[in-house]
Amino acid sequence: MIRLDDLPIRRRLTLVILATCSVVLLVAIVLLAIFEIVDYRRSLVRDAFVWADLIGTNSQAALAFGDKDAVVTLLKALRAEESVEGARVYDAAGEPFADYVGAASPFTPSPRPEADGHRFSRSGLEVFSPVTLDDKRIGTIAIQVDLGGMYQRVWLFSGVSIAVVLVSLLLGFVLSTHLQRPISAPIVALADAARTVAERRDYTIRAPALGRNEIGVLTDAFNHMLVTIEARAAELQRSNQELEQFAYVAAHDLQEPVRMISSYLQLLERRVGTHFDERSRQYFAYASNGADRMGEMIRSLLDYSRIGRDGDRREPVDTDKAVGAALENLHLEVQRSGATVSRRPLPRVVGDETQIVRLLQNLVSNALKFRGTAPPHVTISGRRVGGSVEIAVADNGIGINPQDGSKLFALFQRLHRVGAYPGTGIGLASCKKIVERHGGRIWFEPNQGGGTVFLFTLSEAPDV
Amino acid sequence: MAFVLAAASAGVGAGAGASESQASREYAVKAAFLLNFAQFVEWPAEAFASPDAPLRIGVLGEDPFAGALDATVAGETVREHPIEVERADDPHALADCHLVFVAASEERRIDEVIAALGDRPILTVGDMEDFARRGGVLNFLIDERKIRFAINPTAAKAGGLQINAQLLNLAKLVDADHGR
Repeated sequence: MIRLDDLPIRRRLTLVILATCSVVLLVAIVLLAIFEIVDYRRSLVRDAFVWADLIGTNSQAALAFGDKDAVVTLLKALRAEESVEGARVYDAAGEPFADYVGAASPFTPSPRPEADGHRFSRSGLEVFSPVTLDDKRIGTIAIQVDLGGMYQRVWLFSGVSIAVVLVSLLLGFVLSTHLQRPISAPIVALADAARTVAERRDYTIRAPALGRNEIGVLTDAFNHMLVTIEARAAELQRSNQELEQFAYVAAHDLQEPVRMISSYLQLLERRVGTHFDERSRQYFAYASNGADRMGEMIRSLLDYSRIGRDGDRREPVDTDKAVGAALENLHLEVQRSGATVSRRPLPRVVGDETQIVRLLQNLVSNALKFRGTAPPHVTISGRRVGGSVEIAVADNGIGINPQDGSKLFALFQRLHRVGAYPGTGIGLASCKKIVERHGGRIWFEPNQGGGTVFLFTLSEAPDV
Repeated sequence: MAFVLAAASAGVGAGAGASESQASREYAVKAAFLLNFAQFVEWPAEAFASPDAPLRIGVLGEDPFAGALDATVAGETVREHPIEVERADDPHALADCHLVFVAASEERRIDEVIAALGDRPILTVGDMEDFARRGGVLNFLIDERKIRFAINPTAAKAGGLQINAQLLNLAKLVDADHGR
């Protein structure tokens, strides 16, 4: 069942208008019908009494002289009234004196006159009216009227009413479809603008302002909000760019002095290494390691800064080939760790091949690095989800505490002591940056039976 | 009044061998008719001294009602007029009456009666078949064992009486010329 709250505003307005129309019309029709019936009954009663009076007055002498034939003749005047089922004149003693039986309906006269006045029964309307002569009652006239005419009128009225309601609803539908536009159009336009902004993250869109009413104010407020967001977004982008630029420049310029430190430490070792005592040799090793690690970090940072720096390519990528390239790059690590790698055929994706290779390489490298005691086993698989491809890199390693999830993808974040596992804390940050630049999402889940599964989505390449 | 109508609707014997009770029933009905005639006849205004002056009914000749007339009119009024009944053998003695019932005993002197009362505003009612034709206003007759009446409108008009159309409708209308 469709809920009223879920209906589009246009349909809802139409529905409200039509519902109002129907209710008002129905109430009006019911009131009219009641009035009509009451009025018709009243006129029936009035007519019946007029006939009774007329015949009663004219039959005074006939009643007084007991001339039944004359009364019957007088009663026959009722033939002109089709609705009259019959009439009966009672004498002063209340005995039936003369009858008239109408053509159509059955006439069921009362054997004795009832109290003067009228009464409605299932068989029809009955009126009892006195016949007087010189202020003395000399008899009673009863007339029974068929209500078929009234019911016919009620049916006719109902039929006409239904027709009127249907025509009105049709008219109401057509009119409301047009007349509601000034109300619904700005709301629909606003909703469209909001949806487009949400879908495309395009803050340059503006909702068209139509009129100066509440919706106009709402539209203005919405547009004003978009202006603010657009400015903020631009500012954020600029400061991000500055930051990246700074990181890149810093990393780039730091490379040279670090390389010099490393080089001269090597030269120094070669020249005076033989003269070092045990302690000096240890100090020297610390310095040399530090310089190497610094160099590695700066290189990683530089790589991180370079992601997308030269623009992102968007082309169909053979994902299987990309996995092959990544494993090729990790050839030594795989061999050294004694790892087994399982691969399933993957759907093609759209993106920058170099970056995708690096993404896969980082994830497999992590899987090998954070191994448990058993030989590492890495499984790479993928599936189509909507228009995307979801790729999973599963390992049997040490696993990740779900509480660390938020830290995991941040730059320079490490979950372990420096000595425990090698690394710069940039790998997963790079992965996140690559996936997000491709419009995808990256996350991890615990692997069943220990270890971790890293998952990410990329757009699927259209079939060639 | 109930009695009047019950009597009126009863058929009456008209044969020669009509029994005593049949005869009394016939006159009970005729008494009621007399009262009803008064209801449907309008006298000229000068016929009554005041709106509640009595309406006088005279019985000329041998009274056949045997008290039925007095019983019928007792306590009755016609348009506020109380009713008085008087009896006489001389038509001139009843010249002040409004309605004179001419008994069957007077059949032989009808012309004399009419000469005496004809031009006055008196509703003359004869208890013989050709009374109206001979110049009276109204007479009883028996038709299909029922009591009916004949009216001579010309005679009524001559006396200044207005007879209600309803009454004329019920009556057999006759004209005086045929009788003379």
